[in-house]
Formats: sequence, C-alpha cells, structure tokens
Amino acid sequence: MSEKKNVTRREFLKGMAVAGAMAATAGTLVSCQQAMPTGPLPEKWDEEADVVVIGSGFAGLAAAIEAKNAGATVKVLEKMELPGGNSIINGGQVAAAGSPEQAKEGIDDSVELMMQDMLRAGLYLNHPELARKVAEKSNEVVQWTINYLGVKYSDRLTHLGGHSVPRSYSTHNASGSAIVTQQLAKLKELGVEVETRRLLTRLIRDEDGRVKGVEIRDGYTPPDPNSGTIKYVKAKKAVVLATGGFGRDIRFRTVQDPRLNEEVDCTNHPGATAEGLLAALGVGATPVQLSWIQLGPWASPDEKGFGVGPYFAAGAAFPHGVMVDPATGKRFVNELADRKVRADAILKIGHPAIGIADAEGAKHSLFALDKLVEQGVVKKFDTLEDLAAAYNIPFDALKDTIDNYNSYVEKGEDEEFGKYLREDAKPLVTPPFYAIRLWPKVHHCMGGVQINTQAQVIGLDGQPITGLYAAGEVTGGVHGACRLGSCAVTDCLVFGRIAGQNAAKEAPWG
Amino acid sequence: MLKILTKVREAFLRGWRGCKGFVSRKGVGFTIVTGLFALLVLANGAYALWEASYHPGFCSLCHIIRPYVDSYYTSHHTDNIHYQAHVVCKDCHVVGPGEALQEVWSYVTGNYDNPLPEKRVSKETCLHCHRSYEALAQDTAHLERNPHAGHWPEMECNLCHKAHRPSVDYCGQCHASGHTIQP
Repeated sequence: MSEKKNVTRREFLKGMAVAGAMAATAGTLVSCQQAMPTGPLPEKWDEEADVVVIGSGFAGLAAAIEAKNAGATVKVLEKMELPGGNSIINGGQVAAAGSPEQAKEGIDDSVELMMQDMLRAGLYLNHPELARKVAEKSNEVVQWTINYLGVKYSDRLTHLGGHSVPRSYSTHNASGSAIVTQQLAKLKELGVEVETRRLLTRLIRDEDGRVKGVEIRDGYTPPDPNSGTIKYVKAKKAVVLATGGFGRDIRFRTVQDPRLNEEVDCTNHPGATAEGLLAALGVGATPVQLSWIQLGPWASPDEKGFGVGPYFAAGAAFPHGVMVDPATGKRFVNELADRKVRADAILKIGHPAIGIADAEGAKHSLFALDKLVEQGVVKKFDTLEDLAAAYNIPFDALKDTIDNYNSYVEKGEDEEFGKYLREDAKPLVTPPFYAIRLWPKVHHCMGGVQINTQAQVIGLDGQPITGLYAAGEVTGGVHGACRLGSCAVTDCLVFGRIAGQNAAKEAPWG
Repeated sequence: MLKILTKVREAFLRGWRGCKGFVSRKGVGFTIVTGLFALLVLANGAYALWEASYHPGFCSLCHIIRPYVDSYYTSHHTDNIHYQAHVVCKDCHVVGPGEALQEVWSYVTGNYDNPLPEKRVSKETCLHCHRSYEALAQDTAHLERNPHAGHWPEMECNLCHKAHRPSVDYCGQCHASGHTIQP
C-alpha cells in the first residue's frame, strides 16, 4: 500500500513512457509477424546440405552447379520421377544480345535493344532492373552453355516474335533437353545427383525470419499428394526455389485467370503445378502479377500439349509465310508480334487461324515437317486453290493476301503490319503449300514470387527473406505482361546461376 | 514396434525359465537328443516352406496377394508374359528370409494395406534377365522414336512397364509419341 502511494509523478510518467514504448514495440512485432509467417523447426532434421535446390529444370540445375562450384554442399530435390521439369521438353531457344553469331550474320543488336523489346512486349509491367539483368547477362550465359556445359547449337539464329532482330540460338535438337542433359552430366561430374520423387510440401521459416529448411514428401508418386513419407531437410545456407510455373494447375490458374479453365489445353508437362509457389507465399513471399498467364499462338488444336506443330508455325509460317483468318482470307496481325498480341488476335477472331508457308518457307520447320504432314497436323496442298477449299477460305481474298504479301517481300517492307522481313525472305510462290490450324494454349506463367537482382526472394515487408532464393518461372516481374519467346531459358539460366552463387555465399546458421 | 518386441522378449524369457526347470540333471542326454531332433524337424520344415514359396501357388494362399497371382496366370499384362516365360513371383519380388518373416508377422498382426502399395521393381532386377539398356535400344531400334534411347538412358523400366496392370506411355505425358507399350 505504502509503496503504491509513494510513486511520484515523475516515476509515474516514466512508467507510462516505458509502457508506451513497449506497446509501440509490441505493435511493430505484431505487424512484423503478420508480414513474416513463421513456423516451428522440426524436432529433428533427417538430412542436410548447405544449399537445397527445389526443382531440376534450367534454373535449379544452374543454381546447383554454381553453388557446388562455390564450395557448398548441394542437394537437388525433384518431385517428378525424372529430372528436367518443363525445361527438358522446352523448345531449346535461347535469346542473346550482342552474340558472336549475330556479328557473323551482320545483325546489329544491344543489351538496350533486347531490354526494350522485353519491356514493350511486357506492356512495361516488367520490373525493369530484372529485365535489364537478363539482357545484360544473356550473351555471357549462352557462351557459358557452349564453353562450360558443351551445349551444341545449330548454325543459324532464329527470329522469334516480338524481337527487333534475330537473336535466338536454337539447340541442335530443337529441344531444351540438349541443355538439361548437359547440365545433369556436369552436375554428376561434380558429384551431385538429382533426388527424384521428393515433393516440397513446406518451406520452414524460423521465428528469426530465416528460411532454414524444407519439409518434403520422400517417395512421392505424382500426382498423389498423400504418397511418400514426410522428411525434413535442413538448408544450412539457403534454399533455392526453382519450381517452375503452374500452367497445368487448372485450379490455381483459373483462380488467376478464370478464362483458362479445363477446356484450354496447355503445353507444359504434368508437373507444372503451383505448390512450390504456394510454399513461398506461405512464408510471406510477395506475389507479383500472378494473373498474367501466356498463351502460345503457335499451338495446334489438332494435337495435344506443345506437340510438334509449333516448329512449323513459329519456324516456317510466321517468319516465312502468313497467318490468315479463314473467314476472310486476310492477314489480321503481324505474324512476328509478341505472343500476347498474336494470341489475343486469334482469340478475337473466335476460331482457329490458318498458318501458311510454301515449300521454300517450310524448309525452316526443322525436322518436323514430314512427321507433321503424316500426322495431319500440317496439311500439304499442290495449289493454293486446294488449300483455300480445305479450310473454306474465300480463294480470291486469299490470293490477294498472298499477292500483296509477295509484293512486300520484294520491297523489303510489310506495308500492312510491319513484319520484319529478312534480307533472304522469299515470296510465297513455290508449291507445295503447307498449312496448319492455330488455336492458343497455356504456355508460361509470367507471375510468381518477387525477387531482386540478387535472386533473393522479397517478403511482404519489402525486405529479402534470409535464406530463400528463387529463379526461373516461379518468379515474377522479369517478363511483365508477356514473355518474348526464347527469353525464358535466358532468364532461368541467368537467375539460376545468380541464385546458386549467392546461396553458397550465405553464412551458415547452424 | 518397441512394445511388441518387449512382449516377445518377455514371452521368450518365461519359456526359457520353464525349460530350465524341466531339464533335470538326470535327463540331460535325453533332452539334448529330443532337442536336436526337434530342431532338425523345424529346419527341414522351414527349408521346405522356403522352397515351396517359389511356387506362385504359395503366394496366392494369402488373400491379399491372390488377385496378383490370378492376374499373373490370366491377364494381358506384363505379369502374364513373365508367367509364359516361366518367371516366378519371387524372381521380381526379391525378398530374403528376414523380410519374408516380417511379412508373415505383418499379416498375422493385420498391419498391412489392402490393396498393397505398388512395388517398384528396380531396373537392375529387370536387366538381370533383360541384358542391358543398349541391348534393349537395339531391339526397339526399328521404332520411329526409340523409347530405350531417349533423354534418359537410365530411366526406370517401371515408369512405363507395369506388371499387374496395363503399362503406360510415360513419354506420352509430354510428347505426342504415340507409343503402345508392350504389355
């Protein structure tokens, strides 16, 4: 009693100040924790490594190679039964600005031009510093694949839609497998084997804010979410998230873009689902532009998945031929515009478009042409009349379209849509003529977790999440609203390498 | 598990104490002879059982396994092809005596899943008879896309070839390869 009475006014005020400060601190703590969802560490870690990489596509393997070369112990966890993710079925095209191949072909290009192309296609929604990093490192990373990994490319650069100039290398087998298998071989040489059938179920973020490991299902049988047994893998330095996109995750992609329901086909492998992204969001990673999901305009409704049709459409019909609306017989878009412009244009006409090339142009569909004709995905016609009749195209209109296009080729300028015409472009005159039906399919998720140029994942408080890196399609911001073809492989390799290098530099926590 | 082991240990010790009481000094010789004889009978029985277990009929004694043995005799799957080639259950389901005892124990205690979780026979087991991947690639070289010479030369056989159910075209998940997998 007496003590209470003896509290002086000054002491009372002091007390109030302390209480106020404590309340303020508590407030900060609360808001901090809201931005930092954490969970308890497991009682026991089953395994450990300095750097734990989740996913074994371009980005994950690049990260693993760099981390290992920097002296870290590395584990690569892959949920599927075989390594490679979507990368191993990718088209194998890699954009590089200012490459020796361009110099050889006399093509004038620069980092600035590549970045501007990426931003223009991305509707300037790109995080410019990330797009710049990809463009800056593009040539270096392609040379790394050649000199360090031993990847073989075909001689001629490809000109893909939305790029101002031809700048895309194509692997010798027109598949990302040419890169992935070299990455896997290099990793094996370094003593790291991809551990398959191990599904990431949770990232473990400690109360101090650091990501310290992962919860996985070991012995996972895709796609059964309850298969396998729970294990905990400690990441002494960092976790690198390289889990790819969610194009085949119909539930999640429909949440982001309700038009992309189960009736829309997808070019991805069955493992392209959202759980890696969700695990990152679960520990407070910042989501970026998740609803920008790219449709491929070169996809054929006459085969499933990515198929083989795109080799004809993107390799032959678009650069060396025309795409017409069968209802009018007219071109309706620049065949080399970015994917969003083309896919939106096809969707707008409301029915499959027809891509056309003549015998000269069709030579650029690599090895695929005979196969495509045999499967009926591409059809072959002796005359334009036959072609028009097969697709119910008004012949006179089609003939006008092609005559006009041929005159543009002669002038070296597409007066209608401004399509880039190569110096060796040829008019569409040589039979037989080839045609393909085109209807877009889900292809790439531009959105994902926020990263900075060091590949650190950014939390909801705007600060990097210690111990968590990400690279590749699981990240967002590099490509804005629309990714240019062949920029994904560059993105994955550039940021994969950065993530691996930086993850290995982290101070171990225990 | 520990509980069960403790119980087994207790039972064993109880029995042992009982035996010790039964064996009087006078009857030592008799007990040894009887004991040896009993052991011989037991060992012989175990051996006979082990031999018998190589016959698929033995496996089908168990109601959980019977459907797989029926399939082995009559199906259009890989299992029946193996039956025709005189390959028995235990050639693929390689188990040692320890594992076999454990399975019996699981059965007795009811500690099992029905249907059983799918076993993934390793490619080493397959290649024990099927030579090598290179040889298989030669066998299928006439196919337009050679499934045994793809991106992954070390692919597990079981990804495509299922024993007790129709095989699947693993490659066809991504490629429109149109392989019809031989059963």
